[in-house]
Amino acid sequence: MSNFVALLFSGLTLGAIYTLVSLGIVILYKATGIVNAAQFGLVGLGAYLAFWASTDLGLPLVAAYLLSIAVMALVGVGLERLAYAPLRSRPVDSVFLSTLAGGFAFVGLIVLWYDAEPRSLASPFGLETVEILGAPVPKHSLFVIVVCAIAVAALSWAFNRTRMGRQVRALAFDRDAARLQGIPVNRLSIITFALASAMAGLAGTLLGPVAALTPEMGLSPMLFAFGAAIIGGFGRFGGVVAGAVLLGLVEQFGGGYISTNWREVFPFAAMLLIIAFRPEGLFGGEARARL
Amino acid sequence: MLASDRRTGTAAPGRRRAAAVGGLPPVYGRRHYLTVAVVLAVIALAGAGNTGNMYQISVFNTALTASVATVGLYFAYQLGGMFAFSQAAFMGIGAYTSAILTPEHGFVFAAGVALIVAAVLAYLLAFLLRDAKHMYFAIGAMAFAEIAVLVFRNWEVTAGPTGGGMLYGIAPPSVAGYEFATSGQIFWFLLAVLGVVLLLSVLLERSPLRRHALAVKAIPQVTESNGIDPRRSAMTLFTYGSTLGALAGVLQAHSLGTIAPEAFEVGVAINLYLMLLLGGVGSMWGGVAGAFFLTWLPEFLRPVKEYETVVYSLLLLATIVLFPNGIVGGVAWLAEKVRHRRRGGRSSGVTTHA
Repeated sequence: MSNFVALLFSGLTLGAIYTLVSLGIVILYKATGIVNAAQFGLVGLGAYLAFWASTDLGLPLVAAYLLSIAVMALVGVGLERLAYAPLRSRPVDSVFLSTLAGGFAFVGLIVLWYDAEPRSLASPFGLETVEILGAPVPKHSLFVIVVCAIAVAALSWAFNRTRMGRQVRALAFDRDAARLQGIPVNRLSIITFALASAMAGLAGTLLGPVAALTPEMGLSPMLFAFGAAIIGGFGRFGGVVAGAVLLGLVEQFGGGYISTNWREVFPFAAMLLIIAFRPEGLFGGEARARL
Repeated sequence: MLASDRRTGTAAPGRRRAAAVGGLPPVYGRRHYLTVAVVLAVIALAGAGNTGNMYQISVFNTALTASVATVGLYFAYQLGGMFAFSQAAFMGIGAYTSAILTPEHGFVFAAGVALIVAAVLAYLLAFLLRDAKHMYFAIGAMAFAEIAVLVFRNWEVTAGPTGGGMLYGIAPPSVAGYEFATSGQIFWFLLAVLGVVLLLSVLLERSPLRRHALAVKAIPQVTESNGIDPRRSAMTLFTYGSTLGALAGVLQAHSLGTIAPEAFEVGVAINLYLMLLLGGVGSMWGGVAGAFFLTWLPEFLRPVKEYETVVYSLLLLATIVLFPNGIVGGVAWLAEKVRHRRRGGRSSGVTTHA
């Protein structure tokens, strides 16, 4: 039982992190129509920024986390201006390739900045644990889950209740019609890039204490985030969250009950099967993304 | 029909759209057999003087191996329209299968089995993802690649638990009792293999399969109503391309003598894409040109070695944005310009530089 609870919480923690990356990809897709494969570089950059702020600048961890997120939002704006604007008229697969290349450019920058050696980022809660049903659950896990829940709630409020959210949904529904209605496409594109990049940075800082910091640390989370987005049909947030949590749980329970070394194989296999047999997502409803 | 359109330069409605994706490959006449001979002769002349220099010739060998993989990528990605982020993983499948089987069964048999295993896996993957388009296929292929690397790293058979997937002391290639022991001898072996690959590929380029694939890319609905199964040509091309990837892996394992899982990660597949796009995605020669160019680039970049990843990724970005037709496309464009000037008349309308 205690093993089950421990695995459940580590699965939920990973699921929460994948959710943040995935929602960044989904809102960006909705607002701009591109699938941003640079997200993994941003996850890594966020984590290293927090590491730099806490060790080299000596800031308290929470301040370091916040600084990293703020810088990441600016990086997102820069990315939109430099990398996305010239690609706007390119076919979708060139854009995918170039964003992937952009992600590797971030990896290269991290290697230049530090090096490829793994590092570890501390959690604001250190290594403290709380006992839940006999299992020691790290406070950091609960922190990650709470932060992610707040982020999802805020995001879905913004998406469904604010004027900007309505504009993004209109763009996702019919880009040309929305543009003709005078929706500020450029401004929304910059805002969502900043938001998605900040979310990737947040995911990176939260992932830091769970996994080691390496320049390519964001790659698997991003692939799982793609998986989650597909499971959720690139549509409703609820579906994306469910997909991310599902992949996190599959990874942890597969690792815990079947084999630790093969831990990551399980969610990848699940993704592959879902793309093969349910490409419209597990929850139906919204139409498959036009990719 | 499409081919004749291309030659006369009348723009079929679908051509423009396909051209925007990266340019249609040129028509393959019989003279392309001659091109194979010329390409091989150029590489042979350049390499022959260096067979004594261990370091120089190993750079040649790396480029030859990479050429095989990128020619494969051209078929899977450009003609087949499949986002083959699995290409490096298939190199790994070829490398590991052949390295493991060689001690007991000999190089030729082991390499043959490696190619068959890779072809079967590639076909299964393509079949599994036959309805997945563009991004979905890309993500599925990446998931497959990640699984493959995890297998290399963790399976007992690939020395996963004991050696982290590192295999050492792989025998150099030997055919019919003759062992290609030195780097210089391996160079001639690799050149011969590349020659066979290029000849096979020209055959394929001249076959109906290529015309079907082009038609499918340009006007999918019409081809379907003409009795061409768009998925079948894509699956066949993906299988052929991935098998060439596996062949490159076999060559790499036996010419280097050692392999590690890191050499087959998704990032390596991105480098193969960079080679193909730099060389020119419009034809299989682009794969060869890009492979040689990018293998030599680090020689010039050596003073700034740490910047390699940054330089490569920015190069890929710049290529996509600024030179969608790469080196070969640029050369063809220049040739067209020269021809145009000599004729002093109207352009033939064939714009290779989109």
